[in-house]
Amino acid sequence: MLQGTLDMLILRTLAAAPPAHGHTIAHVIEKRSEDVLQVEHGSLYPALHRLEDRGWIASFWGTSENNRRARYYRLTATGRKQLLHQSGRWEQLVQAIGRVMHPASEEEL
Amino acid sequence: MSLKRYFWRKRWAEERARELESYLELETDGNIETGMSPADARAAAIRKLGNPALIKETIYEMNTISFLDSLWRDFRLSLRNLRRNPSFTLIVVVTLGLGIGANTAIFSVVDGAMFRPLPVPDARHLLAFDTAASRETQFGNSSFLDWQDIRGRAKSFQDLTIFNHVSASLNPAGAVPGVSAHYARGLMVSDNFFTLLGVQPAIGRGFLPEEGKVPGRDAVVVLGYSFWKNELGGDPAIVGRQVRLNGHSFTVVGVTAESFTGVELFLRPDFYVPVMMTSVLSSDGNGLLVNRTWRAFEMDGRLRPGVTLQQAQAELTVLMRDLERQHPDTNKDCVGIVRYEIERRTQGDGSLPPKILLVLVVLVLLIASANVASLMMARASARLRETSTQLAMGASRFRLVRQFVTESVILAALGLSLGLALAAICIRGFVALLPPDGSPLLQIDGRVLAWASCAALVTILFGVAPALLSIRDAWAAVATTRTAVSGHRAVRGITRRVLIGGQVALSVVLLIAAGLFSRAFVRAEGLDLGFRPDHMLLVEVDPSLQGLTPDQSALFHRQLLDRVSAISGVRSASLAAWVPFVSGDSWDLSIDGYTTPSGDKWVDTINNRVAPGYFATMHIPLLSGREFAWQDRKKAPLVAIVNETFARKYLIGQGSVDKALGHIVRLREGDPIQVVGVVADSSVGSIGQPVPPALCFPASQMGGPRMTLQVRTAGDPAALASIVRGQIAALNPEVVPISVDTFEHVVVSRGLILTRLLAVMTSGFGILGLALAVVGLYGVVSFMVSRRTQEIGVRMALGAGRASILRMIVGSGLALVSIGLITGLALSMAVTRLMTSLLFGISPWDIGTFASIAALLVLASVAASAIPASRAMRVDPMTALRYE
Repeated sequence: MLQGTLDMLILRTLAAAPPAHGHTIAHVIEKRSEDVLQVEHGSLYPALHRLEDRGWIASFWGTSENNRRARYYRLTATGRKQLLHQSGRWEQLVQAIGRVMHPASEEEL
Repeated sequence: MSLKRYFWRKRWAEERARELESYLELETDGNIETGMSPADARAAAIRKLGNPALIKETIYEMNTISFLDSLWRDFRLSLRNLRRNPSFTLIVVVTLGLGIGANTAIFSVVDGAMFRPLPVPDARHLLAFDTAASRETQFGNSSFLDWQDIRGRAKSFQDLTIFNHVSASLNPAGAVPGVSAHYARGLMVSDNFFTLLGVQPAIGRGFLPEEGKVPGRDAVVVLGYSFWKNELGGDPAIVGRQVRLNGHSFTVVGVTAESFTGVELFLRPDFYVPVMMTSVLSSDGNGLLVNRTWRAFEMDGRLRPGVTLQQAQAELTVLMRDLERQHPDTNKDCVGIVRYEIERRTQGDGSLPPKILLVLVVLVLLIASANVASLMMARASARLRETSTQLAMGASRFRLVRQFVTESVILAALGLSLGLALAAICIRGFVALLPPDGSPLLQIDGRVLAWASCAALVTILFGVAPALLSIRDAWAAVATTRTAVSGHRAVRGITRRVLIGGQVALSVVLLIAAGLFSRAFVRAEGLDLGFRPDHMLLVEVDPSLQGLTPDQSALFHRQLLDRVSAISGVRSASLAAWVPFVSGDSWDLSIDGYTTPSGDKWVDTINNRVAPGYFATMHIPLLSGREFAWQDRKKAPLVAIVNETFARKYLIGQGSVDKALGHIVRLREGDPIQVVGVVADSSVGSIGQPVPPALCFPASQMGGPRMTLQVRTAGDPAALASIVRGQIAALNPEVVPISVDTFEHVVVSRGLILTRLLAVMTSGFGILGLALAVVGLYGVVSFMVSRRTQEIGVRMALGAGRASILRMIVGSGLALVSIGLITGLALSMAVTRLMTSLLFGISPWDIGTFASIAALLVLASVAASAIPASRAMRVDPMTALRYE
């Protein structure tokens, strides 16, 4: 996975949903990408730690659907701003790569 | 990374561990739902997550300031290592402490006495002038008139100032009630003195240009800060009040800044007065201001911006030649030299002892460093197995180096602390040794600390080098799994040998210097001074400081002499204008029937003014003629007594000294003075030097108000001091002696102090150096024995006797030493030549000293190798062979 995109995916996942714990986040990312993006679940936790350290997400301990203690994460205001910024840049990047891969006219070659 | 996270990282680690556990539970639950067995479900969950330990570590490291953290870890590990080897740590720290301490103490003395810049702004560019230098000497003070002329004409300088030492009785009664009169030392200065130096007063002002114009008009005084603070109570309201100097009223106009301690390192003036007030402060009236030959002033100055020292020197040379043309009588052959003040100060003869001390103490440091280096090396090789294990376990080489460096830094820091503590004690000792007035300011300040830190740095460098070497060994050891690796052992063997050889060589230099200085001290002490300083009390008195006229002063002295002679326990007493080793005086003389080889009319000759009974009291034999008598009054014919060297050099050559009687000498071209006596030569203030021609005049004809009473006693002279003081007070309660001391103490403290100091200090260094070298040698030989245990076992198994083993080990110890010894002896021959002038005639290549030091060293090294050798002797062949 591209460097830094995991952070963005986590933020995006948390943006749409109620607070979620690490396990949910990992599975949501996998499911949404139709299993294309195989998140190594272990690598999620350092990323969560990093994001929380930056103040983009906040966490609290809660109880899961099947009565397990779990640490829940939610997006903060700065996190939301960051997400907008990052997804904007992502769009630009995708379009740019798209233009390179599929030029409007072959003459440009 | 936030520091908060760093300090909370333990809690965070637990937090994340719980979170990972929670993930595993959730995932396991999910897996069970899909039909896995609980065990499989858990295993699958762990697979999905990845290595939890690794994740935790990643998170932990995110919370870590890794540099700080590993530094702290290194520090703690080093402390643990050092504590595990207390004897090693102690030896290294003590070695470093002694080396650094000796260096710091000596540097503080040498710096305080010689190299410290003056406490004025831009001291490095302050110039010092000599305007009466000659071909023989690079030094010669300036006269007031020469200063005026040079200052008026020279274009190269911003300004020039002059100053001259004066002493006076300072009575502050009018300004500070209840404080009695002090005998104070001050400076007579030109009006631009403070301005040129660039120092601001703490209170009030310095001198105004008008105060340098009219002789005797402006009675103003600036007080020295410490005198004002310590003696006068430090009241700022003193400015504007009156104090009395030699009975004359002076207005206090200012107090110098605390940081300004004068223009010499050795003297902190109590007061400053304008040079125009000389008539009040000296008995010579305005003589200083009108005589071109009265060269009493030191001259300092500053360059005009853009002018080089060479240009300034060129101009000065031209100006001095002009002055010589205009005043051939007074300025013949007077050469002008301009130098930076700090250079002038460090060029004279007096700078030799401090420089020698500094060199010797650096040798001590080198020995200490070499010792530390070999200790570190021995330890590094003892730790080879540990180091190679660390390497094999994947420790980076950088980490290991850093570990060694950290240890060295800790050792050096401990050594530095110990050294500074030792230095502080030494400095307190020096201060107690030195005379209270006129000694340099000794303290541990920034400059001294910088020197100490440099010394510590040197030892660190020495300590790290072997450690680096040992890491290389450890790499090789990883490959071979052996603790001893032959390839680098050869290299280290050589390094060791060089270190030990160097230590021995340097100790030899120190010991030989110590031996020579000690012999010189013993010789100097035993040298015949030509007079007997034992059982003598010296009391310096100047009644004119209390306003007595010259005639009154002369009467005072005569009465005092009578009273003192009558004290029981006094054998005899006399008076002299000055006392050998304390001061001296010389006047221009012409001698009828004699001209100098260079055709000069006058010879500058040492002379003294003494009362009747002087030579008998001093135990200077009268060879011919008579002593002075009270009949030699002002109106009577002028008379003189010459010493034998004077008689032979100027009057009679060979033959009986009786022929010298009746010869005529004159002060310049004054009235004839008849020689009435010849006395044996006696020292005029140096030990072991040839006595120069000298003569004496009767105090009753040419004496001044300031005289030293000389009292020869039957018993302890110090015991009579208070009685003599009482007699002075009985004569005139206002008169206070300037100084009271025993002659023996004067001779030791002024004439022998330097030799004694050098002897004591170099002996200390020498013993220190020897001890360090012996310890080093012991270490190396022990190490050698432990390395050769097997070999020794084999030898013994093959029938070698114990004696031959002993010989072998001691022999190899001596072999180590001999190279160092020979180098040291050769090095000493080069070094001691520089000390010749301080040795009182002892040859710098004194065979006895060299031989005994060599013998001492051989003995010491036999002793140092005998202990490990005896251990080798007791080696059990079987154990040794099984050792591997």
